[in-house]
Amino acid sequence: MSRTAAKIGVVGVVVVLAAISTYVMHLLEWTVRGSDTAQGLLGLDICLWVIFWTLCLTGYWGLPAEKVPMVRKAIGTVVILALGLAFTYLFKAITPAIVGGDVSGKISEAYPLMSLTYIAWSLVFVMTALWVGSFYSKL
Amino acid sequence: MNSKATERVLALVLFWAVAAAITYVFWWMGKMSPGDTSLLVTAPNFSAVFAYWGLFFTFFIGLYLGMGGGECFSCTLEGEQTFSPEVVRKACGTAIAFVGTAVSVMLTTHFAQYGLPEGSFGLNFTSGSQVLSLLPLHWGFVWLVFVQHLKLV
Repeated sequence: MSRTAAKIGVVGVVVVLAAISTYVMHLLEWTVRGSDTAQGLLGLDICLWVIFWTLCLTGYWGLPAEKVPMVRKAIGTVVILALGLAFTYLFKAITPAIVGGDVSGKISEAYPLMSLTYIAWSLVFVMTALWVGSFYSKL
Repeated sequence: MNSKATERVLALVLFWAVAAAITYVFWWMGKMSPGDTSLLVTAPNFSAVFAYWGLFFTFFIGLYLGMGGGECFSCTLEGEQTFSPEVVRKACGTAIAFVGTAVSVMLTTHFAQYGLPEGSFGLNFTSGSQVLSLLPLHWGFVWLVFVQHLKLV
């Protein structure tokens, strides 16, 4: 497979993974859906998932490449997404104690930026992995 | 803990301390506007604002400036020449990115109509202006990627 075909393949995988991620957010009702208050947040959601999977596959996995330690990188990706989820719920729990307000109740109403918050924390951990990888390449 | 590990831990603490400080500044700015509660950093967006600013400083201080063990910045600081070409280059890149961000934020807030009546310009702090706390960092990302990947300096 030529280098160009490999790059196009990576772009395709990024788009598919971003679409799946956005759809999962939609199923979980973590997105602000079709109302006047949505303010184009679904578009932002899609954009940020594209950025996340681009950073993950091209930065963290190093694709397209000849040899990729698939198992290690797959485990790392799951850890990144799990840490993102853990921090999303952690900060959701401690937020009222820090800035006040109430975030209990149905997520789509009381915490309408849940999806963007989850992507934010996932991006934090993939960026941290890239930073750690800049001095410790075995990550 | 050896000196490299200490430097990395301190760098990580620095990213998040700066992120917390900026989040607090936006919360305080919102508090100054009319009403009892902050309009810029609220319960539903606090976590996202803090995380995105932490992400920005991990990228800017950690990956662009190379603090904590990246390839070049900290090693030049350890060298005999404090103002080596690498330090000057990074300082110029940072300056360009910050000026570009400031101009971009000014232009986009001037021409966007966040929560304002039809036909008017600027940000309205009393309605729908929460995006202000996220706007500078997104432009900051754009300009840092621009400086770094186009190799402006």
